[in-house]
Amino acid sequence: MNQPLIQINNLEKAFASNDSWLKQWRFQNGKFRHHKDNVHALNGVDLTIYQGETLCIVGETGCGKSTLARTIMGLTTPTSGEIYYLDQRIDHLNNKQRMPFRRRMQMVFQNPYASLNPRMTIYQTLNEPIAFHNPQLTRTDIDEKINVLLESVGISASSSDRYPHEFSGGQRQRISLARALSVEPDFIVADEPLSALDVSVQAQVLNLMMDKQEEHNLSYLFITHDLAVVEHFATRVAVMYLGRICELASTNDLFNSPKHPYTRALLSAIPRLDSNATQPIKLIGEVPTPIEKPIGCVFQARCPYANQRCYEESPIMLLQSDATSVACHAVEEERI
Amino acid sequence: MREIKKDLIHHPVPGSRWSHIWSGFIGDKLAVFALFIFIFYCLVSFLAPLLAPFDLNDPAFIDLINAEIAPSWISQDYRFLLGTDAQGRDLLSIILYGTRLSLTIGLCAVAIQATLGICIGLIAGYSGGRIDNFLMRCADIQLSFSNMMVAIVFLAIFQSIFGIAMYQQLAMVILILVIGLSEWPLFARTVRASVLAEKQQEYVDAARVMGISSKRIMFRHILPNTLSPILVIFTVQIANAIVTEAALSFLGLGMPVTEPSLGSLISDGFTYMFSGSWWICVIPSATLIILILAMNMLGDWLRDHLNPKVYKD
Amino acid sequence: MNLLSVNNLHVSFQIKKQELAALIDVSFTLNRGERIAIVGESGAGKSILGFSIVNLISKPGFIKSGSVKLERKELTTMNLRQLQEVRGKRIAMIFQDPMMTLNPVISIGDQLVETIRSHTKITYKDARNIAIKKLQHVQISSPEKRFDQYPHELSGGMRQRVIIASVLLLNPDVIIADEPTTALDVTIQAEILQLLLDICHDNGVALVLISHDLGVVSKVAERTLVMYAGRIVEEGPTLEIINDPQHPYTQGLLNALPQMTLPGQRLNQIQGSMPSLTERPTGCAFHPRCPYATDKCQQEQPNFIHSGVSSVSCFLVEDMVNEFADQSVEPHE
Repeated sequence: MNQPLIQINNLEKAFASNDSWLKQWRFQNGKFRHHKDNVHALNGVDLTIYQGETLCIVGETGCGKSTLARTIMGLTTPTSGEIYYLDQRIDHLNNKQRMPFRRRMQMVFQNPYASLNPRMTIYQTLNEPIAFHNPQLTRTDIDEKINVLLESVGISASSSDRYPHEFSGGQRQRISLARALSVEPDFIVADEPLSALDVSVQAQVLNLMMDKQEEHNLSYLFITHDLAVVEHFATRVAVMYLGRICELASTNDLFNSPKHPYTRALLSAIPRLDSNATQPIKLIGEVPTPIEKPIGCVFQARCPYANQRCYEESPIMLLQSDATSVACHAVEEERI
Repeated sequence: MREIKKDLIHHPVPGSRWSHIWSGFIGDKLAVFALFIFIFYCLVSFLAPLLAPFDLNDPAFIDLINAEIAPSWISQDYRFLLGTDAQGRDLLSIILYGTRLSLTIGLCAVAIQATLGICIGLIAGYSGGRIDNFLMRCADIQLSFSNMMVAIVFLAIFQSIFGIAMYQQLAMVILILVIGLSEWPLFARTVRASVLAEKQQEYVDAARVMGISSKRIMFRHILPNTLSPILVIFTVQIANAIVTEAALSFLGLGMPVTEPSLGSLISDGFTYMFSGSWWICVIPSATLIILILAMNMLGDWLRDHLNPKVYKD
Repeated sequence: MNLLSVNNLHVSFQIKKQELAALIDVSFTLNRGERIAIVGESGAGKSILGFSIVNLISKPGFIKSGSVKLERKELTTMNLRQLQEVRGKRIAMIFQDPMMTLNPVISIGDQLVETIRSHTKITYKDARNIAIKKLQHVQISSPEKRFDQYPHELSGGMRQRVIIASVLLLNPDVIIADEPTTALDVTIQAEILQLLLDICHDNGVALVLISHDLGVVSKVAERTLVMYAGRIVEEGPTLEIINDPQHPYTQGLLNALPQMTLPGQRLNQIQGSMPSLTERPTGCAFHPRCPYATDKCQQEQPNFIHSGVSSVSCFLVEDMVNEFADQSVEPHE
């Protein structure tokens, strides 16, 4: 195995809800109590990302995958837990201290229409990071770098003075990728970069990302809900639910023998072209908003195999015989 | 290394945003007309010293013999094209100088409003939390005072403390300051609302991930995207500032008699409205009304056409 | 007799002296209780087709020519009052974003009641009962409680169910669903699709499903129409289209799916991108991106011909069909 690039230990993140000051005081048992509602987005995430791999995070709305991405990139600070980049702790750095890491870790976002500043030409968009991180380069050097970068993502360099709205969604996503690559990072977090694109355009952008990975030996943290892309692109897959990782396995293992009940339900729900016969496993209820800190397993409310232990004790990730990790009492007790 | 096929760039929106706006502008004749009027006003008032038949500082300018002569098409006196006022001043010249004064005060006051309002709005919107709360409460306090009342009180106090002579010297500057400092909350609130929306956008996150400083993000990234509503308010506020100054002058708290603005002309001429010399009040009023109308039309048109939804995919 | 028949529909947009064609020569039929899908990417015109069936295209778009018939009534020439009788009551629409359709300041129950009472004279209490029954019908748990909730208090899947409930209140003959599950999570998507399927089956309602997701389509629709640059390029039974696509675009679309390539290999992408309204190529609109394009494809528009159980608009297929036909009529010695 390669060297671990990113190490995440017991990461927790709770957002204070936006209740007005008055709403925070409740009249309970004859006394006024101050109570602030929190949304617990991450409830103890442990993860290691190795160099050169593509780790995909799969999950539905509310599972915390975007929060995880943002916390790793330093856009929010975690409530507790640690994040390491090559043995250096990065979770509680201020802007200045984080600067050397900014070059090495970059991000591509979901919405191609909002991730480029509509008032800046793409030349200006690419110029800013390059000039900022490389003050020693001359204007001509930077120009050349930008041209090379644009050509390498399949955008003609002569269009660098155009504005984002003059490009299609797929092209914008490629420009965003170019921007991320402009500082020559080792690690890129991609937060659902293909979701807003058409199928044929997805293929183009995905091919580009794969090419770049090969060229620059990049590591990806790829967040998506599209399991077909995961099956194609990922080295390892982590399935998240309500701020915890349920299952972590290599792609083959996850798709061939999913263990966690949630993973199974998820896989059975994908409308696949070939398997028209499989009935999706129906889960009870909807994904709840994680307002209360969960006691017991986060999946208890919807799990068909939940027992008393699941309500009281939160399962930890256990290594299985085939090198996958699952956090489930039922699997541990071999009830499934 | 695999070759990446080059992509053909197709332009869903021909040309840039501004050419779009410009072509829409030319097509709308009313907007062109309004702009033309505004430019005309700016030009003639800027060139007032050259265009005015009489110099304001010429002692022969105020000659009581020439008092209350009707406009040239009535009195056939072609020395004074638009007639004279009660002190014998040529109305045309004085309107030119007056318009210049009104426009200067309007533009400078709004420049102050805008600068102050935009900075406060940006900081409040981007920082959020306590700073945002504090600044917006300041804005609320400012808004709860009626602008006219504050202006009147301030100017009256100033006049009584420093005397009329001193006041008359600094009148223009003080008016600009008073009007400028009273209406910044309008800009601040508008900018803050836009900033709150833009802050959520992913390009701001991308800039943060790049390590760009907050100050640069505010001014270089977010501010250009909040300009559309500001532009609209800007034009309307210039009109408002001119009217406010006119109202203050009408009340006697504005420009002194020696440096009349459109407002003080209207004010002075009002007493002569019904005693026969109607032109002393009506002609400056018409000038002011046309200017305000033109500015408001421009502002309306800008609001309709700078709607970002038209340019969103 | 067909329930809905669209014939040679042309829809254009008048943008600043230029007339841009958004739909060209679109024809298809829909029978009672049938479920069809319209598949295509952004810019193909599938949403515009959905809207133009109920004449919801507004300026600068307009229906240039062609006909849309509901049983025997012509919809394109109806006035507003006649259209209002058709919309909702006979042809209903479900949109992608339920938050856009639901009024955020009125509780969902009241919105349903409003729909009921605007078409029938009954008391609030009776209307409320009907609404709650319908909410139950679309599998919303504890409907009495949900009745008083506001749209923002419900999840995306729930809101879409409420929309389906409100659509069913008027017992339409056709439901046009424009990307109803695109904004939803995978597990919820499966449930909503199953719900649509059950409802259409139980009530004999015809369904026009507009989507870009072939997987979704394969679960629900019996027949599929593939659109490209404003035209229908292929039409046929869904399974046939998925297993044996004939038009090069459909083939490209299916090949581009990650399932079709071995993991780790580059995906098969279609070169170039869908042309915008202003840049439609001459002849067959797909020829700049087609690996089999000939000179004829650049000059002429292919006809829509039958090929087996499907219909395709492609010269390549036309030549093959003709060749096969010629071969089969060769006299046996």
